[in-house]
Amino acid sequence: MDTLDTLQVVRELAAAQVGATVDTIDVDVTADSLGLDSLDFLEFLFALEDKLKIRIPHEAVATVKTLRDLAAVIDGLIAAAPPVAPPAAPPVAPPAAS
Amino acid sequence: MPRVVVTGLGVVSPLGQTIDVFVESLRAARSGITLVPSSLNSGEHALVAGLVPFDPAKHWPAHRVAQHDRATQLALVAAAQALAHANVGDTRSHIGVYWGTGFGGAASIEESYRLFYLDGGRMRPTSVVLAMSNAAAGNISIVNRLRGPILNVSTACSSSASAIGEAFRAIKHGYADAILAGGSDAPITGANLRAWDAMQAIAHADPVDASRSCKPFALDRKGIVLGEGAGALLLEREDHAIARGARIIAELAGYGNRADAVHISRPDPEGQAAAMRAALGESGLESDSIGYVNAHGTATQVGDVAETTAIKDVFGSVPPPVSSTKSLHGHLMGAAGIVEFLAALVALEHGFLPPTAHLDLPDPACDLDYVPNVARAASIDAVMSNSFGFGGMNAVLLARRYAA
Repeated sequence: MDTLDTLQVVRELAAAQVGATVDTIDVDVTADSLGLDSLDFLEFLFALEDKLKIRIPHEAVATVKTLRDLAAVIDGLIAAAPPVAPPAAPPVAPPAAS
Repeated sequence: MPRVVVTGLGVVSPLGQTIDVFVESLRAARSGITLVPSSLNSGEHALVAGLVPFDPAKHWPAHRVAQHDRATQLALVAAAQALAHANVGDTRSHIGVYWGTGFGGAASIEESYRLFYLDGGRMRPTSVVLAMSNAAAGNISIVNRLRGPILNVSTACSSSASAIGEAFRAIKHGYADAILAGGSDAPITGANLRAWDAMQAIAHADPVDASRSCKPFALDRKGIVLGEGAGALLLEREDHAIARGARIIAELAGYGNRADAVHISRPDPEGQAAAMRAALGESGLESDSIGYVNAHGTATQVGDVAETTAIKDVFGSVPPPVSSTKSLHGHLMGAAGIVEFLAALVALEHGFLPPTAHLDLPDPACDLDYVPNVARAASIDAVMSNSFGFGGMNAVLLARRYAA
């Protein structure tokens, strides 16, 4: 299994989120300066969760400023709890038929 | 009281994704109704719908496509067409947006529930702004920098007719110089189709020719065929349009809005007739000056008879020709009002009455001149368009040939 290059995945998904090419994504500037507004940033995190099969709690990214910061946080999350499949049962049962 | 005129048009529909193609489809009575793919229909009956072969990738890059529900995408394209057609240019911050929709972001709503129930309770961060009923109106305003009054109208099948009517009033009474009015819906989803089928309101596919499944006013009509689409028009106060040298397409002369107050889904002729009379009364036109009525005509057993009764009640012994273009494009729900009003404007401008297609077996209970099957050349000066929504929401628009 290849070692996960978290920073590269983060860069690629950020590029996709703003419709730019990867080489234009600077990992050491703020998300805002990359064209990711607050809603875009949340969508970007959602895409990362899908891609890496992890959950990124909002508190964990509260102090993140750059993509490099984000990759470091994600590496920490993966080290603490390796990726798992999503739970089989939904948290809320669909409404019962009446 | 100032007059209100139409200066730009736009459409994305099962009959074409530009006004030119829309006109030719109506003239040729070309049906845009097709079988629903099995990916959306797992039931035992073949279903049909008025689908638009719309490819968002032709309009936006992938990351922008993901930001809008399909209904909003259709709306944005129709709105852009109308603004370009009206030659608005860069002077646009005064323009308002009055938009109608029945379902809002239907596919996005369904996808949200799929994720929630089947994917561990996850939710896309943009779930709210994709799904919300006013997403189309908001995005039209944002993309086009329109800062006039803004309203999202949801009155089921009469949503965009009401939106146009309310825009008409806002301009007449001095609340805006110009408003982009219209509507959109993209309700063809797996769950929606099941919901409508559960009401036994929709037609199953015609066994011989799916494109002929919608048969308003015919003896063998089997119910509604759902559709998707968007339409837009720019309404302006007359002096404002003249001052900027706009081409005036028609005058919006009347808007009638009345409730049935009878039943949540069954239509009633009295409320419909009252709305038609209100529109006529406002316009000052006599009923015999109306050259064509675009009917609501959904092809339900009860609805087509109710509307026939209402039209006879209003127009007396010599009613004008009436047709339901839903026979060709289906029931576009929140976009029905605008797209059918556009069809009525086409009749006015292009000199032909669009037909009620697939009317081979007349119903004795529906005995008006429905312009059966073939478009008819006609030079007319005023048109009426009916939209009657669930909940007894009746909206009627009247347009007439513009004369300075």
